[in-house]
Amino acid sequence: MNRVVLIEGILVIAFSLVTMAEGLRLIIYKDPFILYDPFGPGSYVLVLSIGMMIVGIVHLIRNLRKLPDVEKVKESREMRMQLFGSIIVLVLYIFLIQIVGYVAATLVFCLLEFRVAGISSWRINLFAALILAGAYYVIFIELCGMLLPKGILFK
Amino acid sequence: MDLINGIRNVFEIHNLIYCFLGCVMGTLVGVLPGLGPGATLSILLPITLYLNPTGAIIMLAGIVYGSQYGGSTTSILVNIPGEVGSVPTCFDGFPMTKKGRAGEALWIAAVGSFIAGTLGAMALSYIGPVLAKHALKFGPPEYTGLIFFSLTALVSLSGKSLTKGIGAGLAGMILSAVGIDPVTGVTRFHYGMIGMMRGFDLVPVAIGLFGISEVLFSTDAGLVKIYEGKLGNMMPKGKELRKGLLASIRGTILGFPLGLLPGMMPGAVTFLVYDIEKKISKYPDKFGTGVIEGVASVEAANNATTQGNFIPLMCLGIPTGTSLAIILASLMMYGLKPGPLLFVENKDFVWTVIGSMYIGNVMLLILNLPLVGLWAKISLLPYKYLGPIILGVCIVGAYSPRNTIFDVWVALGAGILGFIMKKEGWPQAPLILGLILGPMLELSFRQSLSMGGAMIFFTRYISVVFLIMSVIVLVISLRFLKRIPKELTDES
Repeated sequence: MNRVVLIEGILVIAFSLVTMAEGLRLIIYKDPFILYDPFGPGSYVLVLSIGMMIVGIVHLIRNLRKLPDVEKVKESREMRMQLFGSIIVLVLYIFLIQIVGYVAATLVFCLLEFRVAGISSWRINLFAALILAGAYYVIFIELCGMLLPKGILFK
Repeated sequence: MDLINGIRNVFEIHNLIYCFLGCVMGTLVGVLPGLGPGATLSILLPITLYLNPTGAIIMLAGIVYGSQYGGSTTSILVNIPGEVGSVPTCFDGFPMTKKGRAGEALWIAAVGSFIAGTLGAMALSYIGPVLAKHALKFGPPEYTGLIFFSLTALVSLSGKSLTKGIGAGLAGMILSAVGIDPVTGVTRFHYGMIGMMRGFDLVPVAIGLFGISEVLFSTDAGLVKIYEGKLGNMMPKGKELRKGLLASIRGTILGFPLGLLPGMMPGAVTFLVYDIEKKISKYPDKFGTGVIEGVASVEAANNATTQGNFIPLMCLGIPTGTSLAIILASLMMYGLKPGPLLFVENKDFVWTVIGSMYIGNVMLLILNLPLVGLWAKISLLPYKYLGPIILGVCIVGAYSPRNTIFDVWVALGAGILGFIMKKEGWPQAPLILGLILGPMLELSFRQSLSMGGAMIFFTRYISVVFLIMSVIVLVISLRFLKRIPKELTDES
């Protein structure tokens, strides 16, 4: 069986089991004084989990005869680096927003993200980052009046 | 009378600006191959919360139908379809460009789109009120039937695999159950986390699934060589003009009713229409070498289907595609319940939006004919500049509706999930549909059971009609979809 299909099937079934557990918990500990809701909050979740379980099993069975992984065209190292780089920069950005606030974090984010995206010249990078961060500041904070985090350092 | 009032409202300066912005952004989205209307709508969704509901929906609708106009430009000039629905436009559009007839192809594509868009808006104006007459008869059992019928849209949103589509839809419904139960107030799936107690907001999930994942997926988008030759004559003459206009009308007549069926996205319909046009032609062997009917019928069908898709959305609350699912979400965020009651309770809003479609189509015609060269050049914008801009907007968009960092993490998680789903062929749109319809289905279903048990669904005629229609539509859609290559049924 194809390894990806196997992992997908297992993940879907695991997700359905977690949902089923929550559904059963809500059915078992249902408030007996609620008379206006015969179905209850747990039964709905339980029904969905059973559906999900069926999907997982069907997915596995339908792909049982699928050939094992054929060698896929490998993505270039550069593309993979770019993808993981973007995710890491985003994680860093979210952390930074909470610490140094939106404005400073956005400048750092733009600088790093343009670099990861493929702009190798730091001078162009800094120029683009300043323009973009400035544009965001004007649009979101000045024009839209959004309340964005100031960061724990500047509270 | 209502329509005239609606059109009059559109002429208020702010509504005109929103309509114009929507049309410009739609055309832009259409010409940029890496960015679809679904991703754009999800990115703009939180920003539209700062606008009035009418202006916001006018703009979002403009993006949806505007993208169909823009998609044809790159198909004709550089053989790169901006949208899946524009793929067949390449078959005859690009050969026409190579023959020095790019101007004619662009002219007939824009005029064909205009004819289809306007006729589609007219049909929406007449069908909506008919359905609205039955609106006041809707109680929880009828709504349950209606939402069940809406779930038939899963067929259209499933793409390559129905099992995966149903799985994604169920996952969306389960995710919508996280947080406070709407009937009893019990918290579900919270595991002691405050963020989970509040549940998953639709905006960060949509932004992640469509916006962030799109950027992650497009990291390898490259630069294309733009057409540098002359456009030639714009308006076709004599026989060519007559053939083009007749093909546009045929495309509209075929595309519009197909747009009403779940499963019939523009991507699927245009192939079907191209095939029919070829079969009824006196010279089928010439198709693919630069025949004007090949461009006109496909572009008209593309727009007629898109306009037709608004009927199930506005009249029944059924989104037939990703973009429309996001518009549905937007309507609900404003407290507007799409369905027959919308025409009764929010008359002004509905007719202004419909009126904006007439004006928008005129704007698009003006935008797409004289400015075609500019749009073609914009399609060259490299992703290394576009990607970081989109990501920055996504982060603010995820944070702003509830002002919580938890939602930004949710958006990032949804982005990574969306990327993996896209890579492994799991459709993302059913997940959003499940997230939107899940709470509505649960609430109306449980209320119905409290009213009269399970039999209530079979004793109320509207609910019975919807249940029967669900089965019929499922069968028809599945039969139609079997005739179309699977990869074309996925809007993204």
